[in-house]
Amino acid sequence: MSVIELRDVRVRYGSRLAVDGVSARAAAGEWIGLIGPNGAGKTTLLRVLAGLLDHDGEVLLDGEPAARMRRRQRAQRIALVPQRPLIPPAMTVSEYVLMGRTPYIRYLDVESRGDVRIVTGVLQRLDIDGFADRTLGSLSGGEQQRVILARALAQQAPTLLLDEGTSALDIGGQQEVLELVASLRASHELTVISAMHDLTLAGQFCDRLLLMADGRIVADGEPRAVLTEETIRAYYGANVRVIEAPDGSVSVLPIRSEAV
Amino acid sequence: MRKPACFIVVALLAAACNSATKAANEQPAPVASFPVTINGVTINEQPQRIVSLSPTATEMLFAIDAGVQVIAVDDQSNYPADAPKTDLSGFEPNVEAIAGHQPDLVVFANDLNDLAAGLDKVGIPGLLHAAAATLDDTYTQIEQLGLVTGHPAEAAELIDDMKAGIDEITASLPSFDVAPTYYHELDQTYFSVTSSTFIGGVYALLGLENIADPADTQGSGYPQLSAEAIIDADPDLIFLADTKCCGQSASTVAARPGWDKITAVRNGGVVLLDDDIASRWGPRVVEFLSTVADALKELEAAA
Amino acid sequence: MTSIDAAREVRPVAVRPARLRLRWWAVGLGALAGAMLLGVMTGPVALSPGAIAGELLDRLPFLSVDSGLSEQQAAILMQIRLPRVVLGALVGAMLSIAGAAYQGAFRNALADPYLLGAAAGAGLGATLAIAYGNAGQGLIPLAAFGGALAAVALAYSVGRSSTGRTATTLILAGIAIASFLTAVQTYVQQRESETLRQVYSWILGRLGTAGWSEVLLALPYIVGTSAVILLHRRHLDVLSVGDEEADSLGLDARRVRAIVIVAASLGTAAAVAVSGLIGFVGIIVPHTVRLVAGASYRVILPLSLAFGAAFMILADLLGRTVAAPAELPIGVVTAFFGAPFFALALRSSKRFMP
Repeated sequence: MSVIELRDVRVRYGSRLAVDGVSARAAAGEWIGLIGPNGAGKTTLLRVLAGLLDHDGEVLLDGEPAARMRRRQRAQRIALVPQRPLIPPAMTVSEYVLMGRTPYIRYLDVESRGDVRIVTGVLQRLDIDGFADRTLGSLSGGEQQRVILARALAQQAPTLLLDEGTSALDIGGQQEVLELVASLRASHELTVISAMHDLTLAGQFCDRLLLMADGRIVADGEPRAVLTEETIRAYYGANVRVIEAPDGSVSVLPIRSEAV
Repeated sequence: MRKPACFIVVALLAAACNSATKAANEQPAPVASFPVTINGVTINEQPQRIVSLSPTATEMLFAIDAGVQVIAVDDQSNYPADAPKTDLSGFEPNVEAIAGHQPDLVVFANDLNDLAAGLDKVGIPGLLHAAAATLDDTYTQIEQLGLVTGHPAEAAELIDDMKAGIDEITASLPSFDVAPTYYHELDQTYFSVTSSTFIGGVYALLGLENIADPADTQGSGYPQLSAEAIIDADPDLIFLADTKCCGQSASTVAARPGWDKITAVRNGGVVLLDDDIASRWGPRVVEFLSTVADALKELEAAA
Repeated sequence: MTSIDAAREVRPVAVRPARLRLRWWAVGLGALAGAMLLGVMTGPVALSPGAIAGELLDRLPFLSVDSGLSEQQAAILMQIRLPRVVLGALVGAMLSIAGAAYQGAFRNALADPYLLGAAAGAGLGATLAIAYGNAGQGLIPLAAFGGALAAVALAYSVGRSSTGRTATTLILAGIAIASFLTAVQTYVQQRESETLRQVYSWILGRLGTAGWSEVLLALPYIVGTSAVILLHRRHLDVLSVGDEEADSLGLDARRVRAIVIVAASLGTAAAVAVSGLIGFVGIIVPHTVRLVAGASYRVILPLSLAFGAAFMILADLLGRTVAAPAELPIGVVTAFFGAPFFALALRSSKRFMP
């Protein structure tokens, strides 16, 4: 049984269909990359998965219709790392990451000792346990990124959604975060669905790529199958050369057209 | 219009009565004569179109039989009931509106909006009778009105009656070892009067001590007290002059927090006054004195 | 060596959820107690602190103390001063916690309890009662209460766009409703100009002189709604990262906002009904707490109660002593002293919450 299944999902923004009939499946432990040009509907699809948008069609989590789940239940299954998270500068790292335990805390309760233990573990795993008392505003971009990831991990959800969260980081920062996610995926047996701009990175880290255009899935398969020069030119309108690396992964290199 | 014969008879009788009651002062009954000059205002002949902008003056005019000569009174002149009330305002006087009645005499208590100057400009005689400070001022005003309207005899009679009434009241007052204290309430924000005001002077005449006197640090005569100070002063009597305007009564006073501990409230010493009588200095001040005297008698009886 | 590795070298710091430290408990309660004491000790009639303490102790069950106060003096203390101080505490606490609640619900540091039109609604209700209600004083609190609630309800029903009720749409609706109701109020005042003075004095705010009756009137609302708001302190913290993220964390952002708004508005309406429109308290107190004690609502909400109560009592104290025996309207006092104080606090601290 797949961890996530989408059946003919449609999302309407005014008169426009941002997602136009998407059906797909994700198996447990898969890392799926959502790629496609701007406006293709990648972020919209992620938000549908996170339960933030009204939509037609069905979303099933572990075979259960997500529409029938309460928010808390859903939050225990799916954790979202948003594209532009709101960082309250005066909040401490502890408080921020503890918010990840919200789906488990009863309405009128506060955090339990168990919650504190879990968050301590998460911070240690991400090597930021020394930051517990620091305020978010005093952290660097990279440090903040880890904290955001920590909060998502604290949700202890088997599925992690990443919404182009690395685009603000430099090349080193991007690699660091993705390596971290890869390592977490292995240790926590996570299913990861990430929307990505950088095609090479997508190719390097994802098991499977879903290429979206105009709200539809136009390609679905292994990176080397999806990332072809023709496909990329057709949907991105970009000229690239696709090179296969010795380890089997593909790299996508933009090339300049002949000088005019 | 009197017939000369009746006039002579009345005059003889008046003279006889006068001589009987005024043994000490042998004065002939005053007779109306014109022209007369009062306070710099000259009236050439008996005015027949008097406008009064002062409720007290209205009361006085009607009490000296000059009512038939009054053609218009201000919007606050509610006594006597048949006085010709109009929209004219004594506090925001409008010279044009007044002139529209074609008066030959205007009596007013406040020179606001340059009223005196305005009347002067349009050639209307105006008589300013400001609020009295003492009873003597009242008598003076009555006398002047008598002269200026052509009813000096009636004025003199009224004054005599008032004096007699007041003497009778003061003579029958009970005596107390310690002067009873009182609080005179003007409104619900605890504005009161001191003994230096007209009404305060009347209370003093009757032997009462005012709790508001020490509170008047600015000497305005109308200090604002606080609920705490009133409760602490614990007056024997409370006089409410805000019964008509603001609906205050013994029960509303007793309902105020902490006031039920005041002696006056406990012993039924809360006296309701007629707002108007308590704020005017006219002939009905005798009624006022009588009300206060009754309260004092009850106080003595309760003790 | 990256900063992350550097952190690793240092001993790890314990993970701590936000909570109100003991130190601040003491400061808050101390401020409240001090203000209340000062409040009952001050007045036109001099009562010694010892006598006051004795009288208050005497009121406790099983205790009998002769305070030495006369009956009238005891009445002054128990019927005039104490209810006034208690009312000040209740109103100050309520307006402050409501302000903090609104700030959390709308993620906006400039939100105050009157944001959704409660003040305009209460003002209109009071004006109508004063102008057309000849039943006297008893009608005004009721009309103000109803007016405040009606305004918020109106703003809430109007404040939705195609994407539903967001913080922004509600604020905009509140502004629109407030403007409209204020216009109606001004119109009525113009037509019934004798009411101007009375309405104006009500708007400037004053703590009642009706003894315990006003306290009892407002108490259940204030206690109840403050409790509801306090119970949502953790939720308001989660709300600070935005509706979407809060939703994805399993919190129903819109429902929390609705509950908090309803509670805060109900409590504000009750406070306004008995004390008129006292401004500034709802912004200044929560902000000051935020600047000095911390940004979490678990700190801001309880401390706003304590400091709001103390602030109101002290403001009322000033209002009734500065120009004695006349009283400065309390709304004037809060504005006069509150605004510069807040400006000072803002300059001396770098902590600021968006």
